[in-house]
Amino acid sequence: MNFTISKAEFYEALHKVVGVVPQKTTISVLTCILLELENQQLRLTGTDLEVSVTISLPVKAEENGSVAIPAKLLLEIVRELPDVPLNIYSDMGDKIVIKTEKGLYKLATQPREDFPRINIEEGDVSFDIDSKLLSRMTDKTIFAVSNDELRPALTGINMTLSPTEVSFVGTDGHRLSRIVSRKFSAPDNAPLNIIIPTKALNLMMRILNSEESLKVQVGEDHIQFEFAAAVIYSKLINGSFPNYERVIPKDNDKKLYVNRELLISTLRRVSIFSSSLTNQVRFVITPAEVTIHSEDIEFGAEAKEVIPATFTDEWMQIGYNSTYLLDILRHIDQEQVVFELKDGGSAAIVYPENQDADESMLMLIMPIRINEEPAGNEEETAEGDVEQE
Amino acid sequence: MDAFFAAIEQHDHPEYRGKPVIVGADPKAGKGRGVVSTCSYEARKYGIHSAMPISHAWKKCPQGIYVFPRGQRYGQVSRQIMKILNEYSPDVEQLSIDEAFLDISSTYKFYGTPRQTGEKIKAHIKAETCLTASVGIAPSKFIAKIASDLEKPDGLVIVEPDNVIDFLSPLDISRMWGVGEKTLVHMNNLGIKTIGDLASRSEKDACDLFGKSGLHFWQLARGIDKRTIGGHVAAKSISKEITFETDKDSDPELINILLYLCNELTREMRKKTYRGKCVTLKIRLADFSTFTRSRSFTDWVNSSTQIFAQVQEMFTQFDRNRQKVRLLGVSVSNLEKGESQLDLFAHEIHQRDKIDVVLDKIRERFGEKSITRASILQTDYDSDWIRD
Repeated sequence: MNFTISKAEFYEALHKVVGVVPQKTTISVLTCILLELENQQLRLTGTDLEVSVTISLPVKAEENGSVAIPAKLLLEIVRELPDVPLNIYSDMGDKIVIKTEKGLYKLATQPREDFPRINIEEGDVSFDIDSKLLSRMTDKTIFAVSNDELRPALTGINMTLSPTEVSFVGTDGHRLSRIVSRKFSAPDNAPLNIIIPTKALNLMMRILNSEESLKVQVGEDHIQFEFAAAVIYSKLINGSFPNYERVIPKDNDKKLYVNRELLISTLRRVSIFSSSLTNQVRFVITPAEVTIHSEDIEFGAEAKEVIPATFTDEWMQIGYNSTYLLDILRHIDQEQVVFELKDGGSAAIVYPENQDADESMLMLIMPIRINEEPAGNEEETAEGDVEQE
Repeated sequence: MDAFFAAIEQHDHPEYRGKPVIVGADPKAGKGRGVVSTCSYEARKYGIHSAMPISHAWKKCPQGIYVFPRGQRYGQVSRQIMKILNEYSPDVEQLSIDEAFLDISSTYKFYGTPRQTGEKIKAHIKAETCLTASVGIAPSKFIAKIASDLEKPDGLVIVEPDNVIDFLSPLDISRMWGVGEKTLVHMNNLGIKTIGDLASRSEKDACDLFGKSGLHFWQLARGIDKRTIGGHVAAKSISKEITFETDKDSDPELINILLYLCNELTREMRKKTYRGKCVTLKIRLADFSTFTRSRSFTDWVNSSTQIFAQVQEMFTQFDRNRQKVRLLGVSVSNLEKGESQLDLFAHEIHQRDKIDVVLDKIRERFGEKSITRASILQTDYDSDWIRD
C-alpha cells in the first residue's frame, strides 16, 4: 500500500470513523481501522460488530493494498501533524509508515484477514430522506433514549414509516419524545416499524452533511445509511418497542402555558438546591403563576421561585425530575410551551404552542410522586438493619 | 436510652434486675455464633460490649442471662419514647431505635432552662417506661450526641456554646463521627489522638490527609456542625445477612440462601418504600476473610428478581478457593425513599414485580410462613441459621 493524502482530509475521515471503534473490547483487531486502497480510492472502515462505518475518499495511489491500523495511535499522530501532505505506505510487511516533511512515524499493524468482514445484505425497504430532516428528528428524540441494558428495546429510537409520514420516538420510561414529519413520501412497501441503536444514529449525525439527501435501506435485522462517500451499517435492536400510543393521556384536561426560556433559567437555578439523587423539583400551579420549589434535606438547602404562567384550573401540585424536564424544554424550539396535565400522579404532555402544519412534536414526562406523609412516622427498625449516619 | 434492649428485658423480667443480661445470639454454651446486641451495665463490668462475638461474652461471663432479642417489644417501647419526645419539640429526629435529636431552642422556655427541660424529659421517660435515658444538650447535633454518651447511664451533660472547644479538645478522636477502625489507625499514625489534635491542624491539611471526609472531620473538631434537625435522616443502606451455625459448601444451597435473603431484603425495602441503585454481596469464608462485591443498576429497584439476578451472578463469579462459607449478606445502597419517579410503561415492564407484591400481600395477611418460593422451601433456615 502506498498513497498520498492531505492531513486535513485524512483527519476528517478518521474522525468520522473512530466513533464506532469500541473503547473496551476483548477482540483486539476491533481497536483498529481498516484501510483499503483500490482504484485511487481509500476506504476507511471501523466496526464494533454491531455497527460499522465506511468512509471513501479519493487519494493519489501508487500501490494498492489493505491493512488494519490501531485507531487511537493513528488518530493521535494525524491530529498533531500540521496540514501537510502525508505519504503513507507499507513497510516490512506488517508495518505502516506515515512520512511527512516533519519526519517519519512507524506503526505496527494487524493483517487485513483478521479484520471482520461485514456482510452487507440487500435491504427489503429502501427510501431517500432529506438529511436535515433526519438530523432534526434524531436530535429531537435521542436525548430521551434509555441506556438501561435491562430494557434493550428502549435503548434505541423507534422509527415508523407510514405512506405519508415518518415518526421517531425515544423514551426511557420516564420521559418520551415523539416527532412526526409529513415532509416525507414513503416507499411502496411501507409500513415499517424498527428500533435503531443510538450509536448508529450518533455516528450518522457526525457524518451528515446538511446539503445532501441520503438513501436508507432496511433489512430484516439491519439498517444501512448510504451517503455520497460513506456507509453506516447497523444491526437493529431486537424486541418490541412498548406501545407508547397507549400511554399518551387522552383526558388531561388542564393546560399550563409558560415561557420556555424563563422556565429553563428558573429550573436551572432552583434545581441546584434539589437532592442530587432525585433532582426533584415541586411545581405548585395556580391560575396566573407557577411556584417552583426544591429542597435537599441532607444539606439543609432549599430554593423557591415564582414565574408568571397561565393555567386553566385552580390549583395543582406536581413533582418532576428537573433534569428530565430541562432535557425536554431544551429540545422545544418555540417561545411558548404547553403542558397538558391531569394530576400529580399522571404523565404530562408537553409541546410547543405553535407547530408547523407538516410536523408535530409531543413529549411526555412522568412525575415524581411527592411523599406527603408527615416526617418522623417511620416504622420500627430492628437494630442494625438500617444503617444510619 | 441506656442499655435499651437489656433494660427492657430487666423491666419485663424483674428476676433479671441487678444481674448481667446479654441480649443477642444464642451462646450455646460458648459454641454459639453471632454477636451481642446490647448488654446490661452489670454485664459490662465483665468486659462485655455490643457487637462482641457471643462466644467471647460467654467466656467472660457464663453465669449471665442470655436473651434472644424481641424486636417487636423494643419497637413498641421505642415508639412510646418517641411519642414522649414529640411533646417537647416539634423537631425530633430519630437516629436509631433508642436515640433521637430534639431541637429545643424554641421550646425550652416552657420548661425553664435547657437543663430543666432535659431533666423533665428524663423524668417523663422514667415515669412512663421505668427506663433511664441519658441526655446531652449542646449547640449542635455532633456535640449533643457526644455529651449524651459521657455520663451514661442516667446522665445529663450540658455543653455551653462558649465551652464547645474546651469540651471537644481532650476527647479521644475515636469519638468523632465517621472515624472507624481504618481512619482511626491512620489518624493515630499521624499523631492525631484527640479531637483537639485534629482541630489544631489547618483546614487544608485535613482535606489533604483525609480527602472528602477531611473537611467534615475538621469542621466537627472545631465544633462546626451546621446540620439542622430534620424529621428523619434517610437510611444509607439496607442489609440482611446470615451467619451459619456450620460453614456451608454447597453452591446450590448457598444460592438458595441468597434468594431467601433477597426476598427478605426487598420485602423490607418495599415496606419502607425504599428503592436502591447499588447491590452488594458480602461473603465471609471459613477463615473469617470477608469479601464484598457490588453492582449498580441504572435505575432504582426493589424487585427481588432484579436484585437476585445480580447477586447470583456476583456469587457465581466469586472464587472462594474451595473454602466453605461462614456468612452471606446482601445489601442495597444508594437509596431513594418514598418519592418515586413514575414510569410510563409500569404496567408492561413491571409484570415481573407482581410476584413480589402478591407474595407480600399473602404474607401480610396469612403470616410469614404462609407462602414462599418453592426453591427455598427445602432450605431449613430456622434451625441452622443465625440471623444477625
